[in-house]
Amino acid sequence: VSREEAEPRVTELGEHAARLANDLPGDLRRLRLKADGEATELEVEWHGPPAQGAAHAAAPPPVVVQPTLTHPAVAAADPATVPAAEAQQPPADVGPEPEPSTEDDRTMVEAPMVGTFYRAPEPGADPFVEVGDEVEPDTVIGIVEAMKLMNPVTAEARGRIVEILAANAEPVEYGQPLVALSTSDIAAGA
Amino acid sequence: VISKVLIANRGEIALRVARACRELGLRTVAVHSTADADSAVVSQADEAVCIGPPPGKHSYGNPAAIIEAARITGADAVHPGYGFLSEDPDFVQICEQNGLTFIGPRPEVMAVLSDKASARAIMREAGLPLLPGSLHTPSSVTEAHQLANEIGYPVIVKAAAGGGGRGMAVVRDSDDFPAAYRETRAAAQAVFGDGRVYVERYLEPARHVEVQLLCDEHGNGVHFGTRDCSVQRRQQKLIEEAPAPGISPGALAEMAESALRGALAAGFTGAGTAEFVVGEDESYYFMEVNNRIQVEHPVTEMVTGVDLVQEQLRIAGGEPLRWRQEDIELRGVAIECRINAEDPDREFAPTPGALDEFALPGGPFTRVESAAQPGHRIPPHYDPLLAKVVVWAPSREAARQRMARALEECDVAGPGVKTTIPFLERVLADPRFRHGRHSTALVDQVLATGPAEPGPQEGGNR
Repeated sequence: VSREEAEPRVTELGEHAARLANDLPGDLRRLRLKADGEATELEVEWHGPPAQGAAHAAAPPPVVVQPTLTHPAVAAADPATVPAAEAQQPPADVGPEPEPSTEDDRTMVEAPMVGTFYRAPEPGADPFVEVGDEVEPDTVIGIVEAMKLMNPVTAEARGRIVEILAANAEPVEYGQPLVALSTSDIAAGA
Repeated sequence: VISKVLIANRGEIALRVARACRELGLRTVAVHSTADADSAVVSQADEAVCIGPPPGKHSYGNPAAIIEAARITGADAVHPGYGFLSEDPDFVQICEQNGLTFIGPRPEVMAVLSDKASARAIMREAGLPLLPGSLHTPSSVTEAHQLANEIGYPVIVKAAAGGGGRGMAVVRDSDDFPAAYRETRAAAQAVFGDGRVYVERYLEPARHVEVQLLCDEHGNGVHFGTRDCSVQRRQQKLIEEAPAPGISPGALAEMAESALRGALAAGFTGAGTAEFVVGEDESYYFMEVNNRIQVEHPVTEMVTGVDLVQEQLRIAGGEPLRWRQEDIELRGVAIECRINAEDPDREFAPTPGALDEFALPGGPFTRVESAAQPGHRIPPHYDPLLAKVVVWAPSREAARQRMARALEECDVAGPGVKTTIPFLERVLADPRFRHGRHSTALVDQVLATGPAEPGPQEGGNR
């Protein structure tokens, strides 16, 4: 690969890395770009969002983001939130019909991607949220695992959880409602 | 062995694949964006999974979403259709790593053949004629310019990673070369994320002829004759036919045999096409390989009686080909017209919108491939193909007349919706097309004669 050919690719990779760094939920720990012959590689390590459980001794393994897998939300949470394999269950029915909300103040938090929904950071741990909990826009309400990456799902609105719509370890489609929020009884307090 | 196929595509080709699977007794999983939730393939498939928002990049072009959809539904194979991820060797590899059979060639073969520069090199090895040009991508403007001067003008600058007619420029004068080269590089980088381009002689007038191939995983291969795709506008095909007209059977056979030889030499498996340009003197030159089923595959099916999509599934399941070359017989002539939601009077601009009327032709030897339905909206996010109308007849002239009749039966209307039908009718009636003596310049020649039906445009009619 000539210098002239490699340069735009490295530049592009750099831009991509910058974008990733902005999107990741925690502080960046390390970022490595590699252009080797035809292949380009971008390696990112970062700290997850503020720890929600026990401290973990082992350093999180690096997540390698291949250039082909750029757009989906590859941003994963801290590996501490990775549920163990035992949480896997046979897929239930795909694509349950969401119940249309008749109440104006009900907001659905939807799955941002296809994958497996987890309500808790790890098997046996308390769920991120329960009915009645008050949430802020950045409150994590669950995780969708896709391609072995854990994607935290945030509420995106202030409100109170009124219904949990997807079960733990359930396969979910893109856009499938995961929890329902009521935004009205919290608005006054804002 | 395959039992459940995830169809990683949309529109008519998704439906086409679903039908082939059902006929073979395979279960199907449709994936769809939120814009296609009520599409025909979603209702026909055994299962359906919503994989993302409307933009293709985030749904049909998103490997993670497709792999996850396969995992949660238990699909064991992925049919990529055409476009989207169909020629992405990385996606093929991701499928393999996740235990899915990709219905197409091996990733390393696809990587070599989908790159126009390396495909040229491997085909030259196999003895296929190439237009004078670079075997490798030049490393600087100066080197490329020097090469172009040696080749002689006009030349064409093409993106190595290009496809679908994008990322290329014809240069007729040496002075214009550096600018065109830089622009094509920049466009290739922006569109394909790969700025490599190569340079070759631009042949004109020329015909676009391609050879349909099937190769199994046991080293056997068969070709199914030729298709002519010369009726194209800016590399977008409008009318295709099989076999290619106006070229001697000897030249066509030679082209087809050399294409098969090249594909087997490259280790190709599955259904693919080798594209050639053919000069007025019947000299032919290899252009590129398509590693997938093509939009225009039905014309070959109509003259051979072979269901190419079913054969793709059989090959991916490890079955050997069921024919030797001498078993393949071409009968009659088939023509396909692509009915696009585009306005021929406005540079073929897409015209998405609601389909109030949508009636497609029927009748003898008339086949329609379409996923559109009356009352549906044409989403603005995808290619504007509404329907493929395919006819067969014993002779080319009879097929041409049958197509004209079939197009007359079409009734497509909606607010703001225009289609290519009136333009297709003009091409069918053009004497150059009627006599099979047209070149890739035909569309521009027909456009230059002005619209056949002048007068105020009526909104919503065709």
